[in-house]
Amino acid sequence: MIPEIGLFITALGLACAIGIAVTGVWGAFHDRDQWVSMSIRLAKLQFGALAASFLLLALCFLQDNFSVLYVANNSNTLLPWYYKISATWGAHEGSFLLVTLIAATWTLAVALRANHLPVDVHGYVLGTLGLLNAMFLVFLLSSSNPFLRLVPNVPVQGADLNPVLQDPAFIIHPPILFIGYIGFAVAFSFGIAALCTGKLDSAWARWTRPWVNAAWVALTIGIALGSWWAYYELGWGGWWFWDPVENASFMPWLAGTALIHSLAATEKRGAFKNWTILLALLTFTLSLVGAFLVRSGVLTSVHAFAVDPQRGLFLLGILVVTTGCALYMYAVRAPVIRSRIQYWDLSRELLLLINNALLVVAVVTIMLGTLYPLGYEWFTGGEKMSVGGPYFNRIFVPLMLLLTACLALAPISRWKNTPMVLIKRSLILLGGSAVVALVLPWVLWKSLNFGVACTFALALWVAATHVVSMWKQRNSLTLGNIGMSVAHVGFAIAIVGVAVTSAFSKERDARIEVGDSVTVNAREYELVAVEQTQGPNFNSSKAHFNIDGQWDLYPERRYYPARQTITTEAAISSDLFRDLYISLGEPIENGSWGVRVQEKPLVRWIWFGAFVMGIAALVAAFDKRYRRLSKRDLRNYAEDS
Amino acid sequence: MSPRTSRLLLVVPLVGFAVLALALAIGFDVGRHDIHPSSLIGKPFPDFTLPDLESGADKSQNDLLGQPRLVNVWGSWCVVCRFEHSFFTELQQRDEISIVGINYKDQESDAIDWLVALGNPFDFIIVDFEGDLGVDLGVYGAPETFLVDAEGVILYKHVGPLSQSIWEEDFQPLIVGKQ
Repeated sequence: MIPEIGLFITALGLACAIGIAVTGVWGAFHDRDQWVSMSIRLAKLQFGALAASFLLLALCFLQDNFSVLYVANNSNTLLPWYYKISATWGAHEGSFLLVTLIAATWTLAVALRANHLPVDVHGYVLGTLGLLNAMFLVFLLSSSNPFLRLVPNVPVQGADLNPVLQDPAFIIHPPILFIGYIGFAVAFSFGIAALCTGKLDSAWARWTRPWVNAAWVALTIGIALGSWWAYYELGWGGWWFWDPVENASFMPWLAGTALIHSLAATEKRGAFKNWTILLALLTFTLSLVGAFLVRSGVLTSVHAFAVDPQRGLFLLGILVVTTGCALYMYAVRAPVIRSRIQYWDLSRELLLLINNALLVVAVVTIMLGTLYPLGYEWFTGGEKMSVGGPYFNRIFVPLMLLLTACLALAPISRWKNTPMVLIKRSLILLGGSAVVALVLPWVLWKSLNFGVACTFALALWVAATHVVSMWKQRNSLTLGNIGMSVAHVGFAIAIVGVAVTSAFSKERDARIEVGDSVTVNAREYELVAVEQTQGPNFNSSKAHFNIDGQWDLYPERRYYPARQTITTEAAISSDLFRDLYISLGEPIENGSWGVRVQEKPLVRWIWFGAFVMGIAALVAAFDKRYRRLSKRDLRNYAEDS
Repeated sequence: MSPRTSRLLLVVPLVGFAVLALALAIGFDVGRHDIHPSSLIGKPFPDFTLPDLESGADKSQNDLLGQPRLVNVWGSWCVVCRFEHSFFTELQQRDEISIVGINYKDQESDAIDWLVALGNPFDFIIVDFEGDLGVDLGVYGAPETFLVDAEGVILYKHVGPLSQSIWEEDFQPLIVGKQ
């Protein structure tokens, strides 16, 4: 019965979503408060229904109910209980149910937290969110039903959760990532609301900003967790692979970053209005493109079973309808009066414009690199090729360095025009940073590298200008200022990590017997023993390494019989400045083992920087002016209409 | 600079998106028809000598000759195969084509239990516990199904579970075309 109840209340969720769409849009169109309140009530009901449905699916997993096809395919009686729960979102159907639950959660948040908005804006935003989730739920129910029963041939044992997903980081990584993706639907809905009402002023930008920040925080942390997971779970010690799934999450991140910055210009100066709306629409579009690329099997056909042609077509349909309608409205309704602002001096507006241009070039670069193999296959009639790291790195390194240079000027720049004296003063800081950047890597890693020196110089410059200007404003700092500055320093931390890890990592592959040792970067890694152990649903060869007689590390090689899959559990000893990374390879005849030993300096800084950025953006979202806004804004708004 | 933006400029994103959507649709189309192009299509079924699951007698590629056959790669550990099994039972009852199984990377006792529990739609079953024949056939995972003609030439390969609609669309025309 439980699966049937689950299916039924998911359908109830769909009914609520349609209701939210109708009441929200109708109430906004006729400016009727009671319709919008109805929409708010339905948002609560929708959340309740989808949360219950999700819990019931989790219950099917906990009860090992293999009569449900999705459970049979992704679980196993031997799976520990916490992985049974995370298996709920371990594959397509369940993860999409989670997506609809997250969409319902955002809708609920907008319904409850944004009731200071004028009725028409609130109604259009809720209505758009309802419409989006209605499409998702139709898709879920028609072609990805997670409650589908496998009767009469009920298996006694399930196929197990994909072993590489049996990992603590994986329990939280996808939900956080989805919160980010779907969070941009809120920005999208605000964009649609602006086009519908025709009112696009700084109040609109101020209403939108905290929501964009919140979505961006989740996406940033989600991506960082994914990268960290790939780093230790895939066993190669790489932290970013430019693979299509990663690119799918990186594109909305870059567009969302651009959106945060252009919203600042729209709020403070009324600048880039059309551009800001377009970005709000496109950021969510890129989330949908990502969902299509990942879930339709166009790019990653790891296992063709997941590929049902109907699904891909349906997702493409959702993408075309959503973005097609939005961009059509944009073409017809976006204001043609150009904001008359001169920003051609070295002003904050100009810097934000450059920032946006660079981020958009970055998005286009990734899009081309991701789609190029498809085009190639089509034109050549089936030949395969892939675009790898070298292409992306060649374009990304200069782009990011330019971006960092702009970033350093952010805190000293002023709207309209920046006094020359401030720029000169900051150039002195650049000089100082450059000297340190030349000396420091040489002292720490005994080698010179042009890229590392450039990155260090720019990153130090960023940190210096931000710290100095925060100190100068110490008596009048708002959460918004603090968030901005700390996020920028976080970015500087992350790129230093990227540059140093890429340039100065040392690695060695070797085959050694028990008792032998490998030397990497003057450290001795001794293989003390290898023993066989037994986990709940795997067998494992566990090696014991001793490094310089100081640290002990235990890399493993696990075999999961249910899926006949081997995973590598790397062992890592880390401190602030370096990771020592050992992964255990194949056993070779006569008792020797393949091992890969790596020393990766500053690799932690990449994720640390990303977390700093995320936390800082969250802090900025709590700035007082987003809460205090209402009265004056509403008065202005009422005068306009 | 003119203070007015032309409406035409605002249409640019829509046009750009149309191009992107078209590219995705084409990519999707390519991907759909050619998920795993098997280089074996049009080539003879690879040579093998492997035991029969029930009798233990050796079987070889010559045992596939004489009539068109479906060759299905399955294992008792494969949940989707269980899902697909009812279709094969139906197909066998309609007596439309001979079905041969390759029991892939399995345990003998598990495979026999599975057949006892669910029924056996296969004319005979080739045992490939080590997965050697699977390597020759370029098998990614179970289930996969090959269509082989009376001369032992591979006509088609399908990855994933077979269903009535896939059977009608992709398999039947090839058999009719051959006769």
